[in-house]
Amino acid sequence: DTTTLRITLQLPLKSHLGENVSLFKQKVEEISGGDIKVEIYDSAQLYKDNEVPQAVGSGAIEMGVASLTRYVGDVPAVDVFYMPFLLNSEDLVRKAVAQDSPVRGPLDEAILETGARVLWWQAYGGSVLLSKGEPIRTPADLQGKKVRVFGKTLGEWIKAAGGAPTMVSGSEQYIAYQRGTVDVGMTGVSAVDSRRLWEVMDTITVTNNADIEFIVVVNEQFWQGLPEQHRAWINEAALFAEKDVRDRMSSIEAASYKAGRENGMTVYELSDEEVAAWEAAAQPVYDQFLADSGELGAKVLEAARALKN
Amino acid sequence: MTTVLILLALFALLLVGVPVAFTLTGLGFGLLFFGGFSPLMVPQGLLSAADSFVLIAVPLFLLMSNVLLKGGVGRDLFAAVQAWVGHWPGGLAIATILSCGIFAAISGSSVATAATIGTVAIPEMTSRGYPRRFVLGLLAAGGTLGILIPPSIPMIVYGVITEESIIALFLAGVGPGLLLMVLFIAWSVLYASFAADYQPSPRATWDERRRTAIRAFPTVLLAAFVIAGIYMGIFTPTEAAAIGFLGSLIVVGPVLRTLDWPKFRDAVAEAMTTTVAILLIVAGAKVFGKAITLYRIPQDISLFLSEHISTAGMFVLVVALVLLVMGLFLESLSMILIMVPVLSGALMALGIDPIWFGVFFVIMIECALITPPVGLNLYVIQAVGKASMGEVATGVLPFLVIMLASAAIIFWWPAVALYIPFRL
Amino acid sequence: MLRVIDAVSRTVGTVAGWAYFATALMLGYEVVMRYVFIAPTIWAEELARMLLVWATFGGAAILLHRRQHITITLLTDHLSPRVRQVQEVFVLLFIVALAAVIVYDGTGIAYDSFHRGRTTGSMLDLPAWWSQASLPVCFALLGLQALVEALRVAVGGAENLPRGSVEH
Ligand code: NA
Ligand code: NA
Repeated sequence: DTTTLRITLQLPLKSHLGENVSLFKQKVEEISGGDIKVEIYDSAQLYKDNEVPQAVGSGAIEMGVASLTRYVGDVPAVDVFYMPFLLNSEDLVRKAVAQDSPVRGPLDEAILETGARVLWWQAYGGSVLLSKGEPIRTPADLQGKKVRVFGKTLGEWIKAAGGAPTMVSGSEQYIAYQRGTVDVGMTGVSAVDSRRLWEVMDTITVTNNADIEFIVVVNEQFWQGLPEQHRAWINEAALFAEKDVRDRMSSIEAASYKAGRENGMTVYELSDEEVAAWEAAAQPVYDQFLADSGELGAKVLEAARALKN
Repeated sequence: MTTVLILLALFALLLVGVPVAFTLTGLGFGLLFFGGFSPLMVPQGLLSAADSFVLIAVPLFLLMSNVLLKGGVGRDLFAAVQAWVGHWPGGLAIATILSCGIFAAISGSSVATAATIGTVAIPEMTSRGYPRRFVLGLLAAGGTLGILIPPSIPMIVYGVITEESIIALFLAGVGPGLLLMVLFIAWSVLYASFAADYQPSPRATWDERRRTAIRAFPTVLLAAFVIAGIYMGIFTPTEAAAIGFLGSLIVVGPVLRTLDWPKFRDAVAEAMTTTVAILLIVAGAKVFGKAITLYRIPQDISLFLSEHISTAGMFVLVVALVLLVMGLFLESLSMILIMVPVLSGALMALGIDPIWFGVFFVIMIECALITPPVGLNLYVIQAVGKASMGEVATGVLPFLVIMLASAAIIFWWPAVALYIPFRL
Repeated sequence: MLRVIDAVSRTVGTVAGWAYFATALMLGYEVVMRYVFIAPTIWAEELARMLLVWATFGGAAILLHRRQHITITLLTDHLSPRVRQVQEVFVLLFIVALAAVIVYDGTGIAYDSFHRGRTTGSMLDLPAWWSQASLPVCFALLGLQALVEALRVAVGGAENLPRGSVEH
């Protein structure tokens, strides 16, 4: 008998995450010889990103893609990936998201308790700051500036660093920069390319202050009802897709920086002293994280810090 | 085949008199149920649609225009414009269109615009001998400027479902709105110069001009402030609506002193009624949309369109025809809510700018509002002008042609719409 | 008893109107805080959204009582009183059934969030069920109101129904 997997996805199919889900579809349909069928519902036709945890957890849909930190309402410890400057290199990120990593492992387990099993992680890249005129070298450059953010913890970080966090959705981002609704933008670097942000901002400060990850989840009850062989096929395709997007991430980011430069943007890398200045200003965010996320938060934070040594 | 059955069920429920919102929600549930999909999508869809920051702009813009309406601002606007241009050939018609345009800049709804200006303009124009059909048609059509000139509730809804920038949509409506006003005025002047049997209004005295202008000035200033604030990025559309509403309280409160407590209470209650009516349809359409998506209907239509239609021009023409026909029967908001998700896939494939398409769609909705049998603006003008449906529907015909022409013009010169948001 | 339901619906509707008004005040305050004091609030957006959800679903019942939901009256306007009565009862029972479904499934998702202690994960991080509970509560009211209206039409006929306004 055949299994149909419906996957809900916020981003369009042509985004790199959409391409990755298509790759999974292609792979799993191939190795199962058609016993497993995948239907992809992209561009939030069915669910927005923030609705995915409940939609998959409740079994309203079999599978979904959500940014990892959307689980913050269920598992506050996922915000460890948004801790300022904690996982700010590709090497550190790779260690943290490895299948058996002491950072990822406990988070996957905690998410399983919401009724959703994590099948694979999708790399989205690091977070950067966009500005006009000057780069944002240190917290001093943020004073009195309005900054676009996309989550609670990132907002707290901007606040701790002296800026005024403002929630702006992805779709209003371009026009908010163009019209000066905010002075500084925080975004994953790939958006620079896909949303043509060089038309409205001219400087990228490579902060890598947060690592943006997406996860692909499947409803646990549905999963347990699948034949053993189907689960094996799905896992195989998931691993394949996970490795592919992780390996391509650095070239995707490089292409985005290149597109920015070619369209007149300045790309500014932080010096070690400047990173130190940012880190010093970020302590309240860590304190808040530990207060909100309990034992699990402390455990994964310690594990993430240990990766640095 | 499934698509045809679903459409039949949709029209059957609507015609039997099930409110649009419950038709969409109920049909959505039925489809999920019979398709073996989770019924949890019903509450999830309703919540997902209503839990939206952008949609907060809907009650706020309604509060703003209701408060101004109760404060008699429609009469003031018309009086001022009439005092300045009323004595020109076709002057009263010009005054009516200008008043519609200015009121459109403070109201997000076509019906409110038609009703407000119609109440004062219809008796004035008919008493000066303008042919009734022309007057009724002018008001029904002029009222539709309410959703093309920002703010605009259909544009808010379009932006929400396509995830496009509402600000860009608002700004893109300005050019076509002005174009439509110019075309309406040109037609009115032409018409007036051939229709012999109307009496031109007497030229107003300078004193009267000054007096009426002073009364209308605060409202015009408020409209300009809201649009400028959106344009300069001072506030988001939702915040613009909040500021506009608070500003309107100042205009009709301390400045004009025309709003008392009972009127204010009524304004709030009426804004609630309209908001709930609109947003429940938006929520119901979300459930219906999810259901047809799971039946893969939008996907199939997109595929069909992109296989059979290769040029943007052909696509736009087909869409225009389909919307014109749907617009005869369907209520305007449901047209956006049902059709836009179905079309958006093909839109992307053909490289059509989604902001441009939003403006084009709104013009097609304006047409739907004035075509019988189902056209809210016709009903309103019928009620306000104590006329028959036939009178209004025939009177509106030349204006319908003008609106379709304007849709063609923005197709050939997209810059009419896109210059202001993206190049200015 | 029937009047009690009417009164509850009417009160909820009035409160919904003032909730929209409160939203305007909150967002006006937010703009001033952000532009004048560079200190955006963390609560304005989220509370405004929650008010929108509650007010929108809450207003459904009184709109039904006053027949103000947007409806295509093309055909129904021309029915004989007897047929009109049957049509009205059918429509109202349709709404009762739909409301029952939404109350049932809506309770499910609100209870799930309550049970798991799920929060919105936004700046304010409110419990998710605070807005989700609007579905069972408000649609229960809508269902009751529809039942009341159905009884009235079944007993008293469809002659003296309020005519919905076209102010949309
Ligand atoms: Na308008
Ligand atoms: Na129509």
